[in-house]
Amino acid sequence: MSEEMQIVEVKPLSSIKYLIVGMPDTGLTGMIAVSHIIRSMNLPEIGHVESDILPPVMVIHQGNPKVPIRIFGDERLAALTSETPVNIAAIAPLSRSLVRWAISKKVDILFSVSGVATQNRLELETPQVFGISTSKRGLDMLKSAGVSMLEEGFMVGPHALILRECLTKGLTNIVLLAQSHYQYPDPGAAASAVNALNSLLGLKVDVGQLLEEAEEIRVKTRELMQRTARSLQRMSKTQEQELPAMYV
Amino acid sequence: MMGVLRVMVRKGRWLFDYFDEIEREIEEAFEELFYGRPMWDSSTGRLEPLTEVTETLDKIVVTMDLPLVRKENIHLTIEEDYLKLEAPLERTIRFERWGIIPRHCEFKSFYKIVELPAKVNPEEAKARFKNGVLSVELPKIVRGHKIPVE
Repeated sequence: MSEEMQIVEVKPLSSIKYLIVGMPDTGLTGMIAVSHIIRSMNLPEIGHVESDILPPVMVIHQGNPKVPIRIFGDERLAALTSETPVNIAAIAPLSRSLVRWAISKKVDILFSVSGVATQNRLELETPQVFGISTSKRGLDMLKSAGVSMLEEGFMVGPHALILRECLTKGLTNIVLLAQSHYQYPDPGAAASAVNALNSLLGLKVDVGQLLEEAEEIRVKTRELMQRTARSLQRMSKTQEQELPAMYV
Repeated sequence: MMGVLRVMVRKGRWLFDYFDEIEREIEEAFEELFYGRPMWDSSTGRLEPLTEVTETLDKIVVTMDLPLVRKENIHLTIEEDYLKLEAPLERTIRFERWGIIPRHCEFKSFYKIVELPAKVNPEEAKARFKNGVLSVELPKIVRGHKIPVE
């Protein structure tokens, strides 16, 4: 366990088969998708992340104080999400600690769920999901699930460092990137990401309610989106929209 | 030279890391000062929409995320240097038991005045509304005299 970042297990599990991570970033896609999965599957809270380098924030739900970055789930499926954007100084320690914790829990595959900013998002009825994986097994799974590969591009932010850590430590990481708005909350993109996870993991999470509540979610997540957009700007997230140099 | 002064400090971190951290904290504090205000006003029941302003060579494009809004209810006023939006919500949004608000607060409309980064021609502005996102294209005013290049 990292000295800088501590994963506190309130309900310790000896092993976890799959871990899904969705934090506030592009279009809040990952956070909305993972929150919907947690709610739909009624996953219990099993832990949270503590650190002095995370923002000094606590959230209160139904009178109970909660840490913003929490983990829900059981031995088959755990899901991590955050109710506040992760500050730039905390990204690397969080990624290292999370991957180390996942390995200690014998996680088979770590799924990162996020959005990829798409210029013509308004023209897309159903956003497409693109995948990246650190292993051949992951790539085969993406292929079987009908998820297109992201062939060229940049990744910036927490999921980029989780990808790097998994690559270094030999843990299979599958990154799912749904076409989304950059700085508007995008429940439609989140629904596409949930459907991709349904195919990859054999889940049966219905996105009907998510799509029905989409407009209300967009109204109620405006401020989180605004704060997240500022955080993304600090980590040069717009680099993801640059054309990669093809000489290397 | 930057590379010469490398002073090792506590916990194995370089002094320059601390400078970067301080710079980042100052930036964040300024951001909070300028942008860290609520995006709502419970006294008027208005919400501020998420807004993006982009400037190209010849125009300014303002987009706003306006969920729960109907196209026919959008009221836009455009002047040379600002854009004003008023749009009622299809239904009232209530926030229950939030913060120290004793009962609940209700919001009925979006409202925003956007200062434009350059002067525009309001008569040539074009607006489009799709899937709850408003996009307004505002051609810039270009005044001046043509001069020959020698």
